[in-house]
Amino acid sequence: MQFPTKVKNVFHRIYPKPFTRINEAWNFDGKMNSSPQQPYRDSRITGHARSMKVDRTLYCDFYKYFAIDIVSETVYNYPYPCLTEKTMRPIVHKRMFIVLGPPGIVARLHDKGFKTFAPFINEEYDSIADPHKRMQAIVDELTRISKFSIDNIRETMLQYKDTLKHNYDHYHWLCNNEIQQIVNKI
Amino acid sequence: MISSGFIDALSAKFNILDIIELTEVDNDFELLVTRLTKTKKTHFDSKDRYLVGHLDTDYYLPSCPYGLGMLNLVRTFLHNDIPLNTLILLTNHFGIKRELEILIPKEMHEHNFPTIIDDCILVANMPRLGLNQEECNVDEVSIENHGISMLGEARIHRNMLLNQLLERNLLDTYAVSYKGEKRVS
Repeated sequence: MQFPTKVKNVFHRIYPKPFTRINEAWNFDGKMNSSPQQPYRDSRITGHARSMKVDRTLYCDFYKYFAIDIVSETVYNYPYPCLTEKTMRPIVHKRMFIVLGPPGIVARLHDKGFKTFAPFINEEYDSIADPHKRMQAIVDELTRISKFSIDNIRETMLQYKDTLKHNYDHYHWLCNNEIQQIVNKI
Repeated sequence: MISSGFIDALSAKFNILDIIELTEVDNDFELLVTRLTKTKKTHFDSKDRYLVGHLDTDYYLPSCPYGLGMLNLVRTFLHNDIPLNTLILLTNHFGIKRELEILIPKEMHEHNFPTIIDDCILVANMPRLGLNQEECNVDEVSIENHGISMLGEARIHRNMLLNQLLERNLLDTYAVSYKGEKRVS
């Protein structure tokens, strides 16, 4: 990948050259291996995972076989906790989630009325600003969870059933009410 | 894209002069100048508004407290003498006001500052279930795997996660797709 090496100043404006919106220059010291891999798709993922890009509907029947969605948000090392449709995906499917994104995303979800999955999932990663340490915390957590048997995971899903339903219902409540509430305040 | 619900709700309250997605103009702000020129007025009505959707990422130079898209947007409005209080910025960048406070001269903050909507989950079109898809219930019996990660386009953080899962032999526990629909070659 080619990173912008200088900026092009056009009159009073500044553009990255070559133009990009992606902030990928944060692993120069190579603390963690970020080499790209060959395209890969697990055979357990059988649906059209990218259908959201077409019409924003979801067609993920395979979702019911998984307990936790490891959401990889659009951005990771970024100054704002940007929430996109990716984080809404497990909420719509009543699944637990860990967000690989900028710090503060889980806190932002709490602010907006969603509930998350502590103590089963250690969510301290959300407050770690250093991107490498945050990644380490997430992968350590995934490693810890991987040691649970699938029966444990099923029991945990049941324990969080109310939380999952709350998130689903709250999302749909927001769909019907949030915009008007915000516009009324302007 | 800005959610159509938002556009409808704001249109009922304001006279929307133009709806601009930042991604349509951020690689050449002369495109924005052209659009602003078409709608610019000598005197703007108090209800006149430009809707600008900032729903993709912005590019940040190292240690720079604002993104280049925001810098160019503010400068374009100022340079073309469009009042900044005609601008409604719809964004998923929660807290972006601090960038605009740096970019806009202090004397303009009180009366000539954009309206920022950065606290709305549904500011962009968001997912819904497919028309013929049943609500996905919490059915613990159907759970067969710990987790899933759909990594989509290659990015540094996604590469890192995949490499870490590979190194720790976790790809049996967590099903992953990487780089979209393509299969392993």
